[in-house]
Amino acid sequence: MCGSIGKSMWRLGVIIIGIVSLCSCKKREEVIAINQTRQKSTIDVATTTEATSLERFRGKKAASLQKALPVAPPHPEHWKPQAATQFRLLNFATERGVEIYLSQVRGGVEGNFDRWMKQFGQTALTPEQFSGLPKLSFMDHEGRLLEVTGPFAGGMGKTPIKDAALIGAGVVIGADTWTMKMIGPREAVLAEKDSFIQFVSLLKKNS
Amino acid sequence: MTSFRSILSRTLQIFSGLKLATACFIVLFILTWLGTLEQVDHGLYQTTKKYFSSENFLVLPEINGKMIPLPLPSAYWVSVVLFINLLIGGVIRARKGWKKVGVLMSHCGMLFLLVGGFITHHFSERGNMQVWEGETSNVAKHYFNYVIEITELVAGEIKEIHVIDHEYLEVLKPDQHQFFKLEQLPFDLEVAGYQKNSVARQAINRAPRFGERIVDGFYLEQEDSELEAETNIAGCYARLVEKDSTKGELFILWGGSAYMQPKVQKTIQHGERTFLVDLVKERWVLPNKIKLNDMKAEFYPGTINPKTFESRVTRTQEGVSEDVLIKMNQPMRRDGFTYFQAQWGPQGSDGTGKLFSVFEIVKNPADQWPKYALYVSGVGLSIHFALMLGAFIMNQFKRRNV
Repeated sequence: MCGSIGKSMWRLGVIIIGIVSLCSCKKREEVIAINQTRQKSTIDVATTTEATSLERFRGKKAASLQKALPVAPPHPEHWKPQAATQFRLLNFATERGVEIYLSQVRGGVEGNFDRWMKQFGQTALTPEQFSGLPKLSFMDHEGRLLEVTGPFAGGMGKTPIKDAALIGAGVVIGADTWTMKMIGPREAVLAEKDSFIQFVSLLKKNS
Repeated sequence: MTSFRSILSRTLQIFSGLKLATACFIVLFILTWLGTLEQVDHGLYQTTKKYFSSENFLVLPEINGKMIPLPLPSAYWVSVVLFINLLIGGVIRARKGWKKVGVLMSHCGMLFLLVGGFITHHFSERGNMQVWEGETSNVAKHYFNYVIEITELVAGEIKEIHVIDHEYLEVLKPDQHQFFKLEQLPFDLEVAGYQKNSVARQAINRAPRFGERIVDGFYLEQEDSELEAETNIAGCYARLVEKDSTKGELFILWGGSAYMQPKVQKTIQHGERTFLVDLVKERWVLPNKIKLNDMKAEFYPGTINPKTFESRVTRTQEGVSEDVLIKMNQPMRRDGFTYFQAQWGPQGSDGTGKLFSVFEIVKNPADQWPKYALYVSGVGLSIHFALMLGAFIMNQFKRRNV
């Protein structure tokens, strides 16, 4: 009797699992009719001009900058190219969590260096400290090099790093400020320092 | 007939037994523990989906990237079994009487908690709203779901917005095509190569590695899902199909376009008419408008780590306005929506200048149910303990008098 009940229970289980499995299989339709609409919202503002793929995937600013983008030298193999964005015109990352990118920014070199110092919980550079920073060639102009280490506070979307380092270069060319920045765990960043300086020094302004 | 009754009786006995309840709790504990370990490698969203959603019946855990050959039932289905067990064993078949009222209440509280979880799982929606100081918004964007939106542009104004829902897109594999018949528009749309996370690469910078199709100098490169799934950027190839089946040129739609400033959209000229096509996070329009009046952030000394941040907003619905303060752990609840203070920006800001606030918006019919369920269970257990204590004191009193 017990054996027969056991068998029946087993069958019942198999049937339940079978039904659940069958229910989860759904065939994709070849043609799907779409009638769904939604209300207009405050963010639904039309663009007036037709955008190119370059503008849609890199932003209008980046698209116009791309023409003026510096000619990049070959990068170290372990610098993996990442998608460029409107704030990262050249963008690399290493497997050790280092981010390296070129930006065209506002605020001058000193202003940007101060902002980076603040992200590391340090005070802004005095004019004397700034003028004492090492110089380097950056897109055929004289740029400055900053090296900061310590705890990186992180921020919106960026994870704080307890023992971090930042090596950054900045240059003003005409009305534009360009920065190339390398940030990540201290050891990994410092290991890339020479490659970074060499890469920045070989960046050429697009003629 | 006797055999059927025996099976039924045996089934009821198993389903109402304490052994099953204990097994369910142990499995739920193991699933939570394994899920916590696995989310380190796979992110919270993917892991929660794997371990707790109704989509999976069985789960194969992974630790440090290695699969453990131990199939476990997913937490959703364990909870269903636990619900049945509690309902049959703890409520229907349990002994009734005033002495058992506390236990019965606590069982009902737990059932209420499970029902709340079920409703949250199936009917809740989560999104976020970003508003700059001085600006107004009435729209929430979904964290994960991408949809295709098509709208006509007439004299610079957007007309009705047609939506291809995420449920049709996310089932598509990169090698599959899908034809969408747009019944209210003069053309249809064919979508192919849908990717849940992708990068629009410029072929001039890096040639396609897997023979991806280049369109207008770009191609879509498939990426692994991000640990934080909300940062996944979907992409697909699409083309217009005329009602007479003539196919138009292929173009790429990429979710990253939504983040470009100023706003850029794919424009399609169809005869004299202009249409805009976008692949964007699903949007839902809220019944009220939120204006951000002021955003304040307090920092830990010497850092840009916020200690606390809060938003003063004006909420307007049907011409009636009210000022509300939304803080961390102090959300605004109105009309079935809960607005949580989630983030603020822009990135790297020290709290000065123009700021924006990001609210997490949750529409959950069972929003407060877990709290009420715990109240019911707590009161039930308190009654039960009080009754037990009363009975114990009475017994002691009687013994002494004997």
